[in-house]
Amino acid sequence: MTALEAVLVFAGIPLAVVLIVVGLVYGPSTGSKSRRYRPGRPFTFTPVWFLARPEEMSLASAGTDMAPASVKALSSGATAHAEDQELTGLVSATVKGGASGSW
Amino acid sequence: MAAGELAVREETHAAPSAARPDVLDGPFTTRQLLRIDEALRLAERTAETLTFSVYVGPLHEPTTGAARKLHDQLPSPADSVLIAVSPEQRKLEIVTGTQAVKLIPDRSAALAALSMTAAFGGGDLAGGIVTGLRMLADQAS
Repeated sequence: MTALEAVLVFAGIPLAVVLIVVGLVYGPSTGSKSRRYRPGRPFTFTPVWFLARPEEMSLASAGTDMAPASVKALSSGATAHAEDQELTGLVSATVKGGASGSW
Repeated sequence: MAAGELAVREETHAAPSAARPDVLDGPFTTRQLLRIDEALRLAERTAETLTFSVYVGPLHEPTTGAARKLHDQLPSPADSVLIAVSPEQRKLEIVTGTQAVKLIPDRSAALAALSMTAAFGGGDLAGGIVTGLRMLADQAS
């Protein structure tokens, strides 16, 4: 075994293994956008609203077209006017129950 | 909030319309969506008179008022139970309608909220929602 072979085997192979592992860890991940919520990190996902019986919803809100209304209410929420609406919603809401929580 | 978009996920798969890609931008994987779907359907079956609805996204301050506004937009608010989760603000709101509050007293809602926030604190959004739906539906049955 020449000196060159010894260097290749005892230094080259471990180096190659290390490089492969580093590449796997820090390389471009396939699922680049992690679909996971982590407490404390910003939440940048699209808001979702799950409705249990959409066919009844469309019946009940026939003519009023419920989905665009909700989109409008949500998108205009940043304005002061909408904030007033939220406040009045809190005050003038009919008797309702429920609970709040935070984490 | 991505331009105020709102993705409405329909439980029936009859119309996989334009709402589908939007909901895939949400915080849930397909498997988690299926779990939530199943939990919603089970909750509907357990508590037949009530309608359950889950919102995950930002809520405006005060969050209770915002959640009640959302609840008002449902077709029959009196029979509806809305679970509104705001992961960014770390807030959870459960709103029950005037009829629903008779089946789900506030104390039970608070208990469900407690177990849900425990799951959310660990980063498990879907698991918390499924647990909450199950607890609320069991209470109402």
